[in-house]
Amino acid sequence: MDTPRALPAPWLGRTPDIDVEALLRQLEAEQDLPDRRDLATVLRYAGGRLADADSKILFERLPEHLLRAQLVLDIAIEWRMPAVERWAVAWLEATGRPYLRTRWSSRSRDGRERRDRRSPAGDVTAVARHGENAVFGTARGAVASWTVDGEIRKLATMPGDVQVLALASDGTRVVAVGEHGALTTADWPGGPSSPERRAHLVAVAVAGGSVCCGAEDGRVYRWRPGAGWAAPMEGHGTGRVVAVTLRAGVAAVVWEDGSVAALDDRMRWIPQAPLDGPVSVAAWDDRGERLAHVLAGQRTIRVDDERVWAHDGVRLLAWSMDGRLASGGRGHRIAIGPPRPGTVPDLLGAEERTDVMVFTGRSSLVTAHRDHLVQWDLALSGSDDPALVDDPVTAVGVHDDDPGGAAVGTADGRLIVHRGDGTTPARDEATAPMGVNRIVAHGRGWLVASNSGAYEWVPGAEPRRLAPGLCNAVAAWRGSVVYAGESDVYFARRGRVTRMNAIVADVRAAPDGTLVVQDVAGNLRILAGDRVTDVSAGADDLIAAVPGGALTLRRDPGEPEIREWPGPRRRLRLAALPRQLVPLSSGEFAGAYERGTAVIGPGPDGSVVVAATLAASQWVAAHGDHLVAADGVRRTGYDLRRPGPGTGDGRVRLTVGADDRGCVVRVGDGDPVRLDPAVLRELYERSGDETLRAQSEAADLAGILGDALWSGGLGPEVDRARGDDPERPVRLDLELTAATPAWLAGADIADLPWELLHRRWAPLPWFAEPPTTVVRVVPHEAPPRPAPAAPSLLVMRDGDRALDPVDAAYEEIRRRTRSTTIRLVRGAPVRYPDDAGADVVHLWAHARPDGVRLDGVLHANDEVADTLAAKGARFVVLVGCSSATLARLLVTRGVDAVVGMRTKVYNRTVVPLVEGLTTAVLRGEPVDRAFAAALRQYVLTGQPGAAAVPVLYLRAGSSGVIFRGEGEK
Amino acid sequence: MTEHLTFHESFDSTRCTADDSAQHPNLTQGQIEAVVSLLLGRSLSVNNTYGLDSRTFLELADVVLGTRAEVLAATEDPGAREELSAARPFVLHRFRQPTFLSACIDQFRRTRDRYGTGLFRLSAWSRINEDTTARDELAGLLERIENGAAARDVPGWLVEIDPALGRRFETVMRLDSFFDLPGADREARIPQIPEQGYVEHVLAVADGDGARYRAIAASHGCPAELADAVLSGVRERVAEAGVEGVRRAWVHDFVAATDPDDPALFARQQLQEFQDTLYNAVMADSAYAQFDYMSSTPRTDGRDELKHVNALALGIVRDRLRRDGDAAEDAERVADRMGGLLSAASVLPHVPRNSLATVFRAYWELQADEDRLPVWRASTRQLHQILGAPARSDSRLRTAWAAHLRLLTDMLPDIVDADDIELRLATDDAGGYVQNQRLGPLGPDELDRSISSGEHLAKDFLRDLARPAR
Repeated sequence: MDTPRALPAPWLGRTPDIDVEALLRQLEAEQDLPDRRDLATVLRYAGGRLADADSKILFERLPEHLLRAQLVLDIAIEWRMPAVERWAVAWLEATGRPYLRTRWSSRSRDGRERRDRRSPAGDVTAVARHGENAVFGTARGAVASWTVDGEIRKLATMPGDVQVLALASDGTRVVAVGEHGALTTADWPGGPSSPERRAHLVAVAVAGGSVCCGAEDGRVYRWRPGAGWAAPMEGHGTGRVVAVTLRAGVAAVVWEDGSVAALDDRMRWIPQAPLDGPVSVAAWDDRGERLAHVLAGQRTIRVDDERVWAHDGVRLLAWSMDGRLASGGRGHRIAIGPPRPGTVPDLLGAEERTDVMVFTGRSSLVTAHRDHLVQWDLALSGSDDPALVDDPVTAVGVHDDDPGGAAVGTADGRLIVHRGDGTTPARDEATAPMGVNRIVAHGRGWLVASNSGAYEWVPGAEPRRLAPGLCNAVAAWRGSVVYAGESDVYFARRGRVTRMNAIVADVRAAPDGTLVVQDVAGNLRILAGDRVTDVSAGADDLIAAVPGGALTLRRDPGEPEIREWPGPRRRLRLAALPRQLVPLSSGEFAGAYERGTAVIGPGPDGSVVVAATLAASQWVAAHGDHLVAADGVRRTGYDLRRPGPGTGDGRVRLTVGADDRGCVVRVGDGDPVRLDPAVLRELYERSGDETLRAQSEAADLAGILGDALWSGGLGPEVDRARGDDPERPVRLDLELTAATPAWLAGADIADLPWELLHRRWAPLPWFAEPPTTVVRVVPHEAPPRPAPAAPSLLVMRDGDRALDPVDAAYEEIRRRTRSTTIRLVRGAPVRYPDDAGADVVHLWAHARPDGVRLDGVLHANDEVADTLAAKGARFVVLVGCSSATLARLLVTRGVDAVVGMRTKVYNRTVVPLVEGLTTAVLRGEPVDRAFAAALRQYVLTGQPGAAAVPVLYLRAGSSGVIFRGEGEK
Repeated sequence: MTEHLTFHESFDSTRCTADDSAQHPNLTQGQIEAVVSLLLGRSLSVNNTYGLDSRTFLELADVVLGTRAEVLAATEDPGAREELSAARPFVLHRFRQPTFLSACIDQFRRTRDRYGTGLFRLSAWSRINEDTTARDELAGLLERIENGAAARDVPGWLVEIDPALGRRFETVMRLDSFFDLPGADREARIPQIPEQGYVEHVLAVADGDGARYRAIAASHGCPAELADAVLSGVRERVAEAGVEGVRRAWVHDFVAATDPDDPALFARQQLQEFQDTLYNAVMADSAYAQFDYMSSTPRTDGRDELKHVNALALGIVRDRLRRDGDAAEDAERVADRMGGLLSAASVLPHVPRNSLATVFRAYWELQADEDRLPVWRASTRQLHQILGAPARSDSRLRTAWAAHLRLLTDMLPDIVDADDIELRLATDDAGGYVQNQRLGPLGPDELDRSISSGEHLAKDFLRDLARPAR
């Protein structure tokens, strides 16, 4: 029976150009589950971003559904929605076209940002709460709402298209005021029009059908239904009206000079206690009772008479419905908290300056900078990224040691390493004073060019300055470090390499030893062997050194191209001008564009876009198929994925060997990934220690290894194996080469708990939905034994009284297996050896790595393997300590699948594993998934370290279905 | 010799005279624009006329030299003192005069008695404009000072006329000493294109159906009706007095003679703005400026016409220069022109406000800082090398520009505010003004909010203007 899908995959068996609207209707109509809700939300916002995108020139040849799927993936990563992420990847796989598999995003760590849009009508200059939505006004006089479902709807236009300076809403009616006394309303038939065309209106309030406006020249205007505009009021405060509110028909006004007064129904001023001096910014709360303000030239925010907190350059204040206050000022941080003395406000790190802001719900804040609207979900806590606020990335470098990761340098000189999964360990951060211009991998660390000099940096230590002064470029060349120092290029230790006519802009080295230097005047010097070639590349930007020459980017907006020097010769005509371009080993290029990030390659008429995302980027770096792009403070990691043969086969092959320097794992046909021997040895030792602490440490160490493999190619391989079906389980086939390296204290690498591999901070993939299982595969050339329709089960045990509970457990197994076609060979567990044949054999006995102890006698593994294999079994379960070696041996003897125990096992807790596994296998479930389910049961017994004990060996090439099960005869 | 010179139209002596209030926005405009140029590593090119008679420049010089002296007095390190002494925030360009003082003497002596309507109209010294005796007395005193026959003390009679004139005399004396420093004073050149050359060009591009003239106006954001009004004013004057008659002196007289209630006044003021910009382009050329910053007269009301007319004049100058540069006919405006806006400080409230004195003190402290100065200097050198390259790279310029702005915010965090494309600097003088200087176009909304706009009429940029349209 098919289980209902968690998320519909409408492309399965159909076209990937799916009907998104129909899908959204389906999601709304079906059961309201969190993943479905998430998917609907993401699809809507992706639609919004797609509508905002202005990338038709660059991406016009890419189908829209591909771009949409890519956007869904980007958002799922940013918002940390794994189910939607998997769904988007499957959709992208279904397109059959290359795509950029977003792996990580720094935004996922400052993830209080829930959504963003660009205003189509100019810069946002005012914003107000409008029920659950926000309304905003723009410099071009548009008044629009931004709804909770992500839509932007134009509501009104200011007379003469003048700029909106303030907005107010009572939940239904909207009033916008602006330059030259202009006013407009929305959703208000018979509402007010502009009072008089004079000074700018800079403040407005609406309540109970009345409107009150304040002007730049201090005048106050009131409008009431039926009565219209009263004569403008002046004469109380002076200067601009800073804030205005309406409460119970009375308007309260704050002027720039610090005066405060109320204006009653009869248009009489009622003076209030003035503030302590001129005011730069002020805001009334929703009830019009509490006034937050800042005195001119000061940084302290006061609410009524109390000082609440200080904010540098404060110029924005906003109240939430539940009485919290937000302040914005210089820099990119917004402070939010209850306005009480002693409050330490929560700090929100925005990616850009905030021009206007408003609370739209108890936990929702809307901000805008220029035309960019952002909604923040303040209920998401602890996800602020304090690393980069107001400090954009200015350089990105990639390293052989962690191809999916990167080091970034920032405008303030910060250096941050992102590991392959995007994480940024604190020890991998440092600062090189002033802005970073270039980061290049070198040895175990990095070379850094900054405005304050050239540096060498090994994460974990402080950067070491090689030379002071403005440095635009560094490179590793012929084993030496070279850096730019104004107009010269120097060796770090041996003097000058060359001198240019102007300040050196860039230095690049090719693998063959060619060095290319470019100065800011465009002169290009190519040093290849003994030959020095000088050419003028003009406005071209150096992209890369190549053997004997250089590649440059010609930035002619009309005809951008990549040129090869000396020459120049056209290498590739480009369809659009990138901000930055880096070559890939495939001969393609990764480009950072104002409206996206793309991989481009040669096509019949110039360049073609191979894969692209609409996420803008300024900088990009690449290693193999891994890309890291940055735009402002945001950093994102991608893999270039090319669906092809093998897509969706559900299998990932990992070949594991060892040498003196650790384990070498090859994922699929990818590059080898080296695992740290120290971590492996510690894992081995911890996993053999039964204390809870050791088991916990072992799990963590396995996470470190899992991350290394994930960024070393396992991630893309799992995507490939899962293919177009987001719910397809994936099996990792582990091929372990026998090896007993010295660093593992004489143990075999098969003794390591590979079953614990997982991504750090994530649960074991065995238990995910869909699961990712780990199977140890063993080659065996003999044909598999035929699967009987009614398999027989034989249970053997040692006579040790300690194993008496097995007899009781057997009753459980009998009961559970009644629902299958099993035929019991004996009515109870028998002593080993038993001469009966059987398709399934359980052996309960004390074992050690070299053999099995039965009735006080140690039987060598070879002998036991021969005995058991002779029974013709397809599936064997060995319940004995350290029986994994025997398990492997049995598969080499022709058994299809064998479960053994890597270390100690306790018969009192292992029963659920044995019975669950046997039942599922007999029912025809693939053995790896049966093992996953049984392992879960074992873990749920509370047995410490349970997941690191049983191992599953399988004949190479096996589908994993050991018996056909009922109904599949 | 100073390599990079900027000429500021806002130093124009006619913009703010001694009769204007101390709150006149032009005073702040000239000063704040000057700071921006200095922070970009440029020196201010001053002609001898403005050196004596621009109130804006004299008040700026007073602050610059005063704060320099303060920082110099507080600096003990010999290297830093040397750097402070070597800095040349201004460079004087004398036109056919051997020294600064001789130029001043000549200007004072060009009185109405001797020259009739061709007199040198004093602006910063307007209280003695018609006072031949006082002018002669001052000229004589300066002559004696130049010959070493008199002390540099402020004459009491001048202070009695107006205490502000005493202060101006002091500033002239300090400037004279400053211009004596090596590299601070040189001869101006004969401009390559005279004022009438630009007027002829206006007529030439407006010939026929005027499409080319309107295209120039449109490409610089000047509404067609405004451009037509300027053209009609020029044509009317040409009909009266020929091309030679369209001169700055004429248009100033024309405006001065117009009744304040005459509805034609504003149109004539626009014509004056247009002609002033052409005139200052000539002055800038004469003063060897590489970066001529031509900004409109600050508006005092909600009208934006002067900004548009200033932009129109820039378009005419550019088009005329392009003609000499063998540029393609269909060259169009590039997106990366460097321009700026002067606005009320309240428009950008997040920008820190300081007094001009605080800003210049910070500038001089930077010049005296052995750690910061080399980096700042290398960054400005890089910017100028990129600008001066035979084929300029826009991306390199943008990157270097962003890096320089970041450097400034690092070095002067309480003085400037910047992002990757825009430098912002605010002063709390005269009610508070903010200048934002940008690499790239100015938006119509921003233009609307500002009280003055300006653009660099830089020769280095002009090369790019010759880029064919695509």
